[in-house]
Amino acid sequence: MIKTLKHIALFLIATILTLLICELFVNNAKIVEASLGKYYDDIGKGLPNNLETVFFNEGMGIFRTNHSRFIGDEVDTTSKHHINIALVGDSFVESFQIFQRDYFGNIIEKRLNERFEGYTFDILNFGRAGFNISHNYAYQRLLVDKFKPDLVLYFVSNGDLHLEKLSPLYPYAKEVNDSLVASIEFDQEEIDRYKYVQDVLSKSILLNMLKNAKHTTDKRPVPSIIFGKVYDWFVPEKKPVIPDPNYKPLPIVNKILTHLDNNVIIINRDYAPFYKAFQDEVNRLGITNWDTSNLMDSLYNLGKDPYYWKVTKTNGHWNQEMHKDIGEYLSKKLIQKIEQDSTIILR
Amino acid sequence: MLFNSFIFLIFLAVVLPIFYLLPKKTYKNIFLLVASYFFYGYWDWRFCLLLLLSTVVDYYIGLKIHKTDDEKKRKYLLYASLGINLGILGFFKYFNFFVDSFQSMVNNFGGHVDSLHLNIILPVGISFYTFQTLSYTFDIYRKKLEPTDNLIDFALFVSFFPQLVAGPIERAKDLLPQLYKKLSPTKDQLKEGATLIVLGLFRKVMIGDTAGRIVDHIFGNLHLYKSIEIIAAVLLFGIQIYADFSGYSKIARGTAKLLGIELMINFEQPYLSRNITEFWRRWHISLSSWLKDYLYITLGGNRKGEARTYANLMITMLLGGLWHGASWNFVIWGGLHGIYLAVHKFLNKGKTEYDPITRLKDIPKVIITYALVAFTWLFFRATSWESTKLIFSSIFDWQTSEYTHIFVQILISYFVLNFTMDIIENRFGHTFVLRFKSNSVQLGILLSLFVVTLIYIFQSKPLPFIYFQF
Repeated sequence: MIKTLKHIALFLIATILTLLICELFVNNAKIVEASLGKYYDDIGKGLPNNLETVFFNEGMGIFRTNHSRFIGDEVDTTSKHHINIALVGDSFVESFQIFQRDYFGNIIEKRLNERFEGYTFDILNFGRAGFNISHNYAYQRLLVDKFKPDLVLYFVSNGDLHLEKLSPLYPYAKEVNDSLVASIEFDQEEIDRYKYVQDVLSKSILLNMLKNAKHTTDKRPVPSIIFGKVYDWFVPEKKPVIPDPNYKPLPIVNKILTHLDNNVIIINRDYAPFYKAFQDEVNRLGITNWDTSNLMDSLYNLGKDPYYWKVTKTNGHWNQEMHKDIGEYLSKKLIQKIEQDSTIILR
Repeated sequence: MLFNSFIFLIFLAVVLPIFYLLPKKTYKNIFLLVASYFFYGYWDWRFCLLLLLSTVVDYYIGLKIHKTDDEKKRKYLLYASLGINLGILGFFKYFNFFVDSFQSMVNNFGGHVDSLHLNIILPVGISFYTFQTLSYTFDIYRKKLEPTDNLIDFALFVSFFPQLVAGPIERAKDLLPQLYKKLSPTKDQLKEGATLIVLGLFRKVMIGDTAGRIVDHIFGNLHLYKSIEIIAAVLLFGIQIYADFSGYSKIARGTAKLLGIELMINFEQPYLSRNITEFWRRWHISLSSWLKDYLYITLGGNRKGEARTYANLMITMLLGGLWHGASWNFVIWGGLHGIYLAVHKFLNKGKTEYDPITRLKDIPKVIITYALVAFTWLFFRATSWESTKLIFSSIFDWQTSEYTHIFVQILISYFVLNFTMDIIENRFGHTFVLRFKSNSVQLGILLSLFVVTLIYIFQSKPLPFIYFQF
């Protein structure tokens, strides 16, 4: 009995020590990123503050969140000639997969600062993976507006207009009577569960690896991961879902559009033009909107796929070249806009 | 089928029990042969045809060389083997390299040649098994080896899956005799085999592949990165290639042990070497000894005067560089090592240090040797002259990085783990975990390393063995 206990104890000690060494190595070598989620009572699920992270997916990114819980430096909201432009959208805006210096927002910031001497422009990255137009709106009301942005750029694709299923624990736009409010009403059990998981994950990078493995299984079936090519021999690839060309905006989408401030610009961030019904509604309401699908088309025609990452040979978010091109494209559009509306923006 | 993939573990889980259950030597060898061809054909079944061709050619030529005493005929047969094997290797690996180089040379002199570039797929591991079969024919020609008259045994010698695609490049005198007997692993072999697989996987995946991610991103977009980041990538590549290659070799040795076969040690902590000669005795041992025995000595070695010795050394290293990949960068890499070796030989005039490293005073020598080797990796990884120029211009046109502290931290982490593992291995052997007396401790360590590695494999795409891309 004592011998067995001794064996178990030795096994456990060896296991724990080895795991500790692995933990130390994986953490310091930045092999797996720390947990990038935290629950806040004022905004729901957000990014942890003051966190520097090395991130790998289709690309490699390094970024730091500020005290205000978004990627970038601290923000000045007080000085007179300081102009804040907020970018709101999904993971394409968030851009975990590139170095911050290559981020399209930084390119815009640089160009605007070069163009308008005497003013300081700050481009604020409020992108969050999984955001749709409803999350964008709520996030603006709960967090973005605190930084008094002079312009707010909503990056949206057709996929972000289907609001039947919202990302869990993200703030969302909710119709109350005739008005629209930003809501963070969630099931308390769900909040507690999320907080507990995040608490556990924050204690160990190896546990984060497990969480990432779980994410992998969400994207790919387990047999495909385990059996590789053998699985593909037997299971045909699923055909991609083609978007419905007869889409009609949901009432809540129309509501959001009517409640947008006049400093909001809607940007189609996808290669496909907006659904006609949505585009018509945006035009009818006189909301400024810019379409990047032509830019993407021209890049395709030049043999540069904006979504293709040659190093990892995968399709994903915008690659560095696209960040550069879209940064330049939006800089020009913004310079035009600011010059036209200089009385409003350049106070 | 990559060693660092789940499908390989499943493959092993199927192959091993069947292999253990088979009663006779012939059945076991036939089964292993079929398994090896399946393993190889999993990449692309057409590769198996080349493997078969190489096998059949050397089997019959080996027998013919042995049967005849006519020196002229023996020589022609050797040339035939060399011609066919190197012809296949040359066509698949070097055809485009030579025609592109020729085209660019003619264009540089004002002429014009239409591109002869072909869309050729490089068969995985062709450089490894070609050298292995060639050594068989060479040894028979030199009367150092009796050929086998069993085609199954010979085919298994050529295609034995643990070492087929990434070595070690085994000699027939070591591997073939093991295949003549009924393969049955001992208890120690099973234990050592499992240990080597776990340690090899950990090294390949957790050190090699993870370092490789950073290296690939930086080398894939050199123009986007700052000087310190590029230097970090070069240093990390030194870690990656070592962990990748030595990890793969360990898995190969471990898998072979589970089948009752002993393969040679391919890496002996090369980054602990105190000089470049010692480095080449510890790095990719099966290739360096092959080059020495079949190229350097064939050229005359050190028997034809001092000048010729240096020339032979340079030729060997230049061709050794080219063996690694079809690019001038590999030739430069080999050439640099040739120069290092020649200088070391000249300065030392035969004096070499063989004793294992235990002294602190060796540390500066180890660091200098490491720095010299690390510099050559720059050419190895850059793979094109344009990239090499870009690296040098980035380094000389120094740009600071806002992420210096992160890269320094990452480098330190990899260096500490890699060198610590090497120092432990150097002191306690490749299966150092088994030096713990308690089985529970051994199990605890190995299981933890295995689980961590598996989780990582699960969450990210396995990176292929680094040499596959060349």
